[in-house]
Order: sequence, then C-alpha cells, then structure tokens
Amino acid sequence: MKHDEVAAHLTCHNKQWKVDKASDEIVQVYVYQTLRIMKIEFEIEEKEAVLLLKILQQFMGQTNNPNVLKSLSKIASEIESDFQIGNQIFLLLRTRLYDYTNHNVMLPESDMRIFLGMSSNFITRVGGLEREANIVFIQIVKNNKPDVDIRKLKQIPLDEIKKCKLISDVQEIIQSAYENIS
Amino acid sequence: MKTFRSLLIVCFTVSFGSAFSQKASISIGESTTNSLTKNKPAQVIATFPENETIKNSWLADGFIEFKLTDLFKNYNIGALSELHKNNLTSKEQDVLQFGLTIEKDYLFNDSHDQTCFRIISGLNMKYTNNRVKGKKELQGNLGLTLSLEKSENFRFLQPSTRLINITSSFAYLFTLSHNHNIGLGYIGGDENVLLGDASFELSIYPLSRLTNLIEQPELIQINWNINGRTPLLGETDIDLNTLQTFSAGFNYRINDKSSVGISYSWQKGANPYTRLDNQEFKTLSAKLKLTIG
Repeated sequence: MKHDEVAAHLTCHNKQWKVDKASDEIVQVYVYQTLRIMKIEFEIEEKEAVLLLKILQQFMGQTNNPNVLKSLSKIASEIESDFQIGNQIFLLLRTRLYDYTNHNVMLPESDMRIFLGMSSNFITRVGGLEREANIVFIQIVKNNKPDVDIRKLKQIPLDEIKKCKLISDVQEIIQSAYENIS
Repeated sequence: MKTFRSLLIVCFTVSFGSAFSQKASISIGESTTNSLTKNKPAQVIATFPENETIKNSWLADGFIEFKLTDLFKNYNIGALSELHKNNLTSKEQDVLQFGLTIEKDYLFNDSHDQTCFRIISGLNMKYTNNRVKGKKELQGNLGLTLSLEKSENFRFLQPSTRLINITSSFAYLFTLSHNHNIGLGYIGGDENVLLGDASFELSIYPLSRLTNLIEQPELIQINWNINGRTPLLGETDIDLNTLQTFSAGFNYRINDKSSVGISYSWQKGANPYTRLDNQEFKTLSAKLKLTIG
C-alpha cells in the first residue's frame, strides 16, 4: 500500500494521520485529536431519560476529572433542557385544550378521543388542534428562543397533527418542531 | 341445477385513503351526497355465473375521489366518480356519476380567540347517468354540519364526539356518538327539482369500557341512520321516502388506519340522488377498511 492510499484509508476514519514519506514504509504515525463537534441524536423514552440523568449526576459527583465533569454536565443539562421544554409544552397544551376536553384530567398519556372525549372534527380538521398546537409552538419559541423571527417559522401541518392519538404525540410534534429550528 | 363457471362473491366494504403528499389524497367511501355517507365505507358484492342466461348480480355502492386539500384558504377541492348498482333487489338501480366537490370549514371563535364551533360545508356537482331508465341529468348537493367543539353545557350536541366518558361506570354498558347533516339538493334533467335534506346518525358502542381493555373500544358497533328530504321548488315523480339504515356488527382495528369486521344491515326507503327506489332489503357483509400512506 502506498503512502497516499494509506493516508486516504486512515482519513476515512475521521482522524488525521501523518505518514513519514521519506521511507517506503510507515515508520511513524502521529494521531491528532480533532476538535470536531459531534451532534448525537437518539430517541429514548422519558423514564429512560430520567434514569440516564440520575446516572450522569451520580458520575458527576464521583469524578475528579474536570474534563469528564464538563462533558457529563453538558449532556445532563441538555437532557434537563429537553425536560423543561417538554413540561412547558405540556402545561401550555393543558391550558389551551382545557375547554375542549370536557374538563377531564389531562395527562401526557391521555387518549384524546377515548379518554378526553375530544371532538374528532377538532382533532382532524383545520382550525382545531392544529391551530392550538401552532399557538403553543410559537409561544415556546418566544419564551426560549427570543431571537428567532416567528414570522419565518414553518407551521406544524395539519397532516401531522391529525395522526395524533395521545396528548404526548402532540407534545412530541411541537418539541420536534422547536428543536428543528436552526 | 345451475352451474357456475366462475363464481366471485366479493362481499366487502372498503374505505381507503391514500395520502400522496400533504396536499393530495384519494379516498373511497359510500356516497358523496353528504358528510355522513362520505365517511361510510364503500360496498361491493358481485356474482358472475357461468350460465349465460343468468345475469351477473351486483350490489355496488361507492365513490372514488381525488382531493386537493388546503388548496386555497381552508378549501378542499376534489374530482369524483361514483357508482350505485344493485340488481339483487326487486327494483334495479344502476347509476354512474362524475363530478366535482368543494369543502370548506367556517370557524367561529370565542372571546379567548379559540374555535368555539365550526360549520363544515360540502358542495358537489355531479353529472348523473341513470342506466336503468336511460336518463342523464345534473345533480347538486350542498350540505352543512354544525360542529360544536367547546361547550360545557351543550356537550350532548357535539357531533363526532364520544358522549359518555369511557372512565364512567356507564361505559361498561355502552358509549355513543352522533352526527348530522342538513342541506339542499338539486336534481336536473326532466325533474328540475330543489329538495331540502336532513340526515342524522347515531352510533352506539356496547361494552365499550370492557372492549377498551384490549384497546378495541369500538369492537361492537350499532348504527342507526335516517335521511329525509322534501321538495322545496318544483315537483318530481322520483321516490322521496325517508331512508333508514340500521346496522350492527363487529369492527376490529388492526392499527390506527385499518380495520376488519362483519356487519348486518337493514335498509328501508329511497334515495333520489342514487336512484334507489323505495324498497326494503338486508345485507350481511364483511368489512375491510384500509388507509395507505
């Protein structure tokens, strides 16, 4: 394998390698750690996120390494921020939808038609749940990302909202729209 | 003894909606006459005997509609084709229709700037070919549904809403919902008559709280539908008798969009828009509801 091929091969693994070209063989390889920012996205259930947060906080209390502490606190604060946004969305939804649920107790896992007795027309047609979800979305953006121009926000479409069965489904759509704001 | 070269009995009901994009969809249902019949599944029963002296038998009630949603502000516009063919009963029916539909919701807000109620309107114009009598005509329907969505005191008036809370002990017996449609209908050609229409539907879900334990709150269904009309302008010889339909059966939801079931239904009366003459008959049919997309 030639030097260029080796370099290309190694570059594929997202690391920078330095090859001594003076000889025919690789005599020395230097590895440089890059400052590349990684965006890690994965979906977990809320109860799993609570468990993960507890474990992270436990590790944070045990470590003496400031770099590890910094990394863990970054992840923990990101999870806490998600919780906070989720809670804000739910509380706003509960307020906005109170009169549409026949005053039934609303929980994230409540089935909108079966348990809350919400009208199918309200859920599936324009100007109903879709309108309320967009009002909550705009309010959340105003509260947490005041720099964003709300006139340029992409509205949550009716097609997404009318598929929702549970309150948590609506909550997730709003949170996802909020997180997708660049 | 009669022999059958090929016997095909398709005894099913299909309600099919396919979202090609956010703005377009295809749906299949019973009839576009009003919002109640639009939400009902289509029905087809066909028998093709080998013996050429015996006529093929048909019971087909259905439409297919290609709809563009939210085309302008709150407007849905669709193109449709509709077939109503029945030679299994004493008075034969064979109607083929093509037309256009326009739907719009009119929203009414309260002091909190929230939708309090809406009027769901549907207008359709159809070219109708009555193949039994060899007559062609233009038909039109304007239907309105008042949908109350936010009311504490008049909850019982909310259409398409489960009126008995499933957590109440009464839900062990049943839960229920209702729907309605009022409007005008025009039949052209030789008839040239303007009709006033009113429809009401009651759906009961027995043992709903128990069947909800297996996440099938609508497993058992009983439906009653009444559709009446009267001439407002002009006169007609078409049967205008009130049409009543009663059906009972099982409906198992496979997922949010699809279900299978079996239903027994009894029908009495006439439908001038599909040229169903005044008569009474019963059907037993398997049901399949599919949504793709």
